[in-house]
Amino acid sequence: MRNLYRGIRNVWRNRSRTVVVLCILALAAGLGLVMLALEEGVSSQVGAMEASVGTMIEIRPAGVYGMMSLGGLGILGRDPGTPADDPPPGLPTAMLEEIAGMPGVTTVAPYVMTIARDQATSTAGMRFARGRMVYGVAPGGDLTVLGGGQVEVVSGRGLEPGDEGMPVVVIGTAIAEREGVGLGDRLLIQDRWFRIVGLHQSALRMAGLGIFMPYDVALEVFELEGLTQIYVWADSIGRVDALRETLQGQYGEIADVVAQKDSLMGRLDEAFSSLSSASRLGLLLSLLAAGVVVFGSMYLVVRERAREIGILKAVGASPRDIVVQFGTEAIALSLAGALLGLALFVALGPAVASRVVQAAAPVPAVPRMAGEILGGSGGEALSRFGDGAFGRAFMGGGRMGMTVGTVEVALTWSLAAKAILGGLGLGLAGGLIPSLVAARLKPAEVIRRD
Amino acid sequence: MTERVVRVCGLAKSFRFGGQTVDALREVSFDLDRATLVGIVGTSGSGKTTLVNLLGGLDSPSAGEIWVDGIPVHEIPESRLSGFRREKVGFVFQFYNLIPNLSALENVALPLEFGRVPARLREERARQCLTLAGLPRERHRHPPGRLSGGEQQRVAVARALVNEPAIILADEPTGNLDSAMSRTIMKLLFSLVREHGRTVVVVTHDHELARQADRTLVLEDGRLKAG
Ligand SMILES: Nc1ncnc2c1ncn2[C@@H]1O[C@H](COP(=O)(O)OP(=O)(O)O)[C@@H](O)[C@H]1O
Ligand SMILES: [Mg+2]
Repeated sequence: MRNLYRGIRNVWRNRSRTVVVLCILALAAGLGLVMLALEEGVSSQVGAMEASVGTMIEIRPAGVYGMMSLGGLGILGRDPGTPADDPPPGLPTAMLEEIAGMPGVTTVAPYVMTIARDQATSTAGMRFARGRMVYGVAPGGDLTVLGGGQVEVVSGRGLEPGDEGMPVVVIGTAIAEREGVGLGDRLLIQDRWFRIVGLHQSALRMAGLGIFMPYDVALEVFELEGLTQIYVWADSIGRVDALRETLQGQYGEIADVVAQKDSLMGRLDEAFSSLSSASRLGLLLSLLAAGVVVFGSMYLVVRERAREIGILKAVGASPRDIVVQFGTEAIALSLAGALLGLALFVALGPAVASRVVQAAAPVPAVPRMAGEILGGSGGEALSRFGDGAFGRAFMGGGRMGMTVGTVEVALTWSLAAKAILGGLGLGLAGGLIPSLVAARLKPAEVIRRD
Repeated sequence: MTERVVRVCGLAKSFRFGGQTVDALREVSFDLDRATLVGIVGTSGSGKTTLVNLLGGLDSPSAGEIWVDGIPVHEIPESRLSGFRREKVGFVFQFYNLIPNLSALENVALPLEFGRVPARLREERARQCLTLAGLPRERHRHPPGRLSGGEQQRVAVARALVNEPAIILADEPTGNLDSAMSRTIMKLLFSLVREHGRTVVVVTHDHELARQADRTLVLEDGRLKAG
């Protein structure tokens, strides 16, 4: 006990040096805490993002397309001249029933996407420019286009339960205008007549060219072998991985199974990795600096008090007594530094953190990135029907960018505990060697020195 | 009736310094009786400090045997010498060597702390020794820096006494004091022997003291000249 007492008391032996050392330690600890808080802030936001992007799993034919590309679309749209023994890849509709019966599945949504032959100009060169994107969806679900998110029905109605097998379509206002048709009119698609039951609109040009019809009708009319996608929702985020495994096991031969959270998080991780690695490096450097300071100052202390250590040993201190006393001094010193650092963190942490965030990840870059991921070329993979989560995910991305821009670095219990543990660890690590050196000093030699 | 407390036999100590070997002590043998004051004299560099350090277990001999209070000190491994010092030896150094940020009382109590003596007992015993060494009670709580040289040496003597050691080793305890102060410290050391039955070994240049001592060992170039 007295060894501890003397150790703690000795921290104040050389006041000016102790003040200097404590200032350095406090700075290092404060900075380290900012880094730790940033790291925690980022990972908790990534976690929140993960939860908000939801429980969707996408199944698509194996190896056909990674992120849906326009090249991929070409395969799916079947030209009249294409030989029948060259079937386009697709997912059998039987999967819908099977998957719906799996544990933890709440919703299964079929999806077909293809391009209709242009009735007016069927030259191959003009096909895409004047093409009609056809989306086969489950009647009753949201109308969602790949690459554009949900569309809004502006007149008439959407596709409703009971439309299965019916030649009904909801078309974009852009197509209606171009082809001179309106609500209630008939429209020729692949040599079949459809009734226009609704008109939709979207800010995106691509979406405006979209024609929605029941997926079973689309499969039949376009003579497709199967669905271009199946979307599955798990009942909880915790279930997603297991469900993805199950689906992979079941359909791995014919399909790729991707959880939305994985593909999204992979991209988001890139956005955050620079911030994360910067803060980790900062934490490491500040720990290192603090360790060197503790070590150096304890080493000086031992040299300076060599004679005194000799006296302590002469009057009966065992090597263990010496180690405990000097170890305690080191721990008290670094703990005091850590507590001062904590105070510094409370005072200046938020300001420093926002500087670091700005330096490591310019604020506008994050929402832009998220927007690109969710709404741009790759965004189609994330399009989600059924419950409008696409918008939520997009908003989530935007919101996340904002919050990272002003990452909250508040003092939490866990942070305080880490500071204290860090102080203890640093004292132990930095003070160990000097204390052992002290314990090994030969009393006869150090007392002789004058 | 005398009782032998120290027995030294064929003691030698050499130091390796740079490439050279210095024989600080060679073939030293003597016995000391309990409750005597023994003076060690000799020119500077004759090996007095080396001898005292070996007797007190601050250093280990190169050859020979040292028995203190029946304990073969030469056989104790270095890691366990601290226990021997704590229980059997009291040291008084020329430069007082008190711990500057501890009070007189705390300094005196140090050997008891390392001996894990309970706090109440420690303080009581330390106060007794300080009083015996002649430090006024109102100065017990003062740090060494506030005490005169003589007072500091009184504290050092009290510290050497506190564990009731078999031998008290004082290496030039008056070397840093004026003659008046020296005399009072010497008187104190004598009183420890005469009134309290302690065994005291004093390294000194003071021939007056050497004459008064029960016995004088003269060292010359690491050898014992007369006993
Ligand atoms: N640690 C040491 N290393 C080298 N030489 C030493 C050491 N300690 C003592 N000596 C040498 O041993 C001799 C005796 O020293 P010491 O016992 O201090 O003499 P005294 O106390 O009589 O003046 C001296 O020559 C001294 O230089
Ligand atoms: Mg000497």
